Formats: sequence, structure tokens, C-alpha cells
Amino acid sequence: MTLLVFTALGGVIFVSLIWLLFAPNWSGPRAAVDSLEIEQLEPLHCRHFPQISMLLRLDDQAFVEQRAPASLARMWRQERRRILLKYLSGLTEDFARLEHLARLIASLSPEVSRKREWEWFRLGLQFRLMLRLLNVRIVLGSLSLPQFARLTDFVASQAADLESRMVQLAGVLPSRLRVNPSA
Amino acid sequence: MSLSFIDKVQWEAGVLLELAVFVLAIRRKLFQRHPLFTIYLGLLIFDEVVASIISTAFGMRSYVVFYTLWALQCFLILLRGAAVYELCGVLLAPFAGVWKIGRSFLLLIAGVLGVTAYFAASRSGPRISAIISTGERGVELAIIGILLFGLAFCRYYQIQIERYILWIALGFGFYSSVQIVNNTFLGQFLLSYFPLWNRLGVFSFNISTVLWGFALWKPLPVPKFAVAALEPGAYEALAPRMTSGLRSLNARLLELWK
Repeated sequence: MTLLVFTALGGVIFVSLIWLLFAPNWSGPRAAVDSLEIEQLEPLHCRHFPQISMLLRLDDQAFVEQRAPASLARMWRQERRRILLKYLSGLTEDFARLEHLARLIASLSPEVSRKREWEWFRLGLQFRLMLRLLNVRIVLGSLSLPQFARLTDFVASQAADLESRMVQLAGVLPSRLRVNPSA
Repeated sequence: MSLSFIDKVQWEAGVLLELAVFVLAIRRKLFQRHPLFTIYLGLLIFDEVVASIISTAFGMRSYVVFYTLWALQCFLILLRGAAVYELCGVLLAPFAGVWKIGRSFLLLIAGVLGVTAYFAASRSGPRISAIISTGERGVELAIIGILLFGLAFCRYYQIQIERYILWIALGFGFYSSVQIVNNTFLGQFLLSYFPLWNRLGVFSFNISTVLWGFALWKPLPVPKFAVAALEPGAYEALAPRMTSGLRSLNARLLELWK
């Protein structure tokens, strides 16, 4: 048993090492640390909230189900589900941008709070896990439209706040950047 | 007890590789950035010289040879651990805030795994080979633990790893991974496995030495001493707002899930 456990552990450790050393780091747009090009990290997908909220209108659903043939209504529902899933993956991308910005700020700061960084790490994991679960619910069709509408509404307000914060950061932070020769 | 032909070739190749890598390290002025690793590379050659002299003088089965070589091995393993910690420092220290939290975390990992190794070795029974194999496995786990968490910090904060550091880290990690498995087999099969344990240990160390040689083959890049840093208050002004946004988003998602 010990033999098996430690052989597996050795393998896992080596694979993790290879992944940590050679896997690409960040697939999204890279903000340059030197110039802090924050505008590259602005959320993109949250902006499409108005179109998504139109898609979620309950009277549209009722109309299609009453007037359109069953096959067309089914196609319409499938298409809507596909768009919702794409929107969720877009939200994940927006979140990754926000996360990238948060880590950039932490890596450039002379003082970092351990508690806050830990909380950010934990919340990030929680966010990803819940988005995965939501994906499953959308695929299974067990998520009601009003529920999803409430979520997108909230995300849109967060995105608007984030966007204004980004603009604020882009304007203020580069001028506050300085070279720290003692670092 | 004399060495077999394969063991002799492996050992001689290993000495030549260590010598070549040490010369490369001196030429590349590695000691300016990685003093502990450079000392480690130098001590490897010293270890080979001492091993050769005392085994010729006292014979391979002598207690003097046994205790001297194992004492040197212990020192070299600890020095390798320190060199790995130093490597993490080279990567993370330019990022003052991250290094402050990373340093204490890495020391904690080393401490916990080191203490675990000590207790595991002391409980592994009366046979010296079992104690050594368990103890060494624990120390290798501590070394690779420091390395993996250091690299995880780099990945998390998207800190770029220079090419030469990448190969040095791979050398350290490869040897430790092999030794974890190798020592486990030694602990199970004891003396019957000893020749293969020895051969595998030397072979994997030679591969690591080749990887270090590869790391030092080209001149080292110019070090980045200065890192653009934010004003001290910027983090405290920005981080809480971003965290609270994410916290409320998660709360909303959780609500949706219920």
C-alpha cells in the first residue's frame, strides 16, 4: 500500500512540476506590468446584458410556445440555452480578467494582506465551482428564467461598477507608478 | 566490495558532469544570484573527492566511510533544500508584498514536512536502511514541497520564470520525485533493493546535473533589480472593493443554486 501511495505521489508531484513550469500562464490579454495597461483588462461580456435580458423575457417564451410549431419552439429553446451557456462562459472570462487585475495589483504592492489574498483565492474557487454547477443546471434545463435574470441583473450592476473603477484606475494608477530601486 | 562496470561508468560520468556544471556556474557568475546553489555544486565535487580518498584509505565496508559519507549526504540534502528556497526567493523577492506572504508560507511548509519526516524516520524500525530511506524520503518531500509551492505562487501571481531558472527547478524537482519513489522501494525491500536504489539514485542525479548544465549553457539574462511598484496605500484602497464585489457575486450565485 505504502509503495503504491508513494509511487503515485511521486508521479503526481512530477506532473504538477511540469505543469507549473511549462503550461501557459494566462491565456487572456496580458496587461503590461511596466505600463499597467488596465484598459486591456476591462470586462467585455457583461456589456451584452441588455441583449441577454431581452432573451430572458417570459412573454416571448409564452408567445413562441403558443404560436410556433412544437419543433420550432424546441429549436428556439435550444438556441436560447446555447446563448445562455456562451454568456456564462463570457462571465467566466470577465471574472478571469478581474482576477488578473487583482493579482497584478497584489504583485506590484509593497504590502499585501495575507487574509485578503486568502479570501480572494477562496472566493475565486467558489465562483468557478458555482459557475460550473450553473452550467450543468442550464444544460439540464432546471434553472428558471427569472432566477437567471436576477443573476444577470446583478452581474450587470457589478460590471458597471467595475468598468467605472477600471477607468478610474487607468487614469490614476500609471501616474502613481514609480520604480522601486530597493525592491 | 567493488563497483560493477555500469556503476563505475555512471559514477565517473557523474563526477565529470558535476565538474563541468560547476565550471559553467563559475563562468556564468551564478554565485551573484544563487550563492547557495553555487556552493552546493562546489560541495558535490568535494563530496566525490572525499568519498574517493576515504574509501581507498579505509575500504568500502568501513564504519568511518559509512558515517562520513552519510554525514556529507545529510549536509548536501539540507543544502539542496536551502538552494531550492533561495531559487524561490530569486523568483519572488522582487515582488515585495508577494514575497512577504510567500516566504512565511514556504518556511511553514518546510517546517511541517521536515518534522513529519523526522517522526516518520524515528518510527520506521530498528534497521538503519529503513530509517535512512524514510528520513530521506521525508526530506525530499519537504524540498519538492517548497519548490512546488514557490512555483505555484509564481503561477498564481503570473510571475514570469526565467528560462535558466526553469531548467534548474526541473533538475531539483526531477531528482526529488525519483528519490521519493526510490526510497519507498528501499524501505519495502531493504538490502535486496540496495544496488538498484544506488544505481537509480546516481542515474537520476546525473540527469538533474545535465538539466542544470542546460540551464547554464547560455549566459544568464540581465537581472531585473527594479520592479515597478504601487504606492503603499494603493492595495488597501483597491483590494477591499474588489473582494467585496466578488463576495456579493458569490452570495448571489449561491442564492441561485438553492
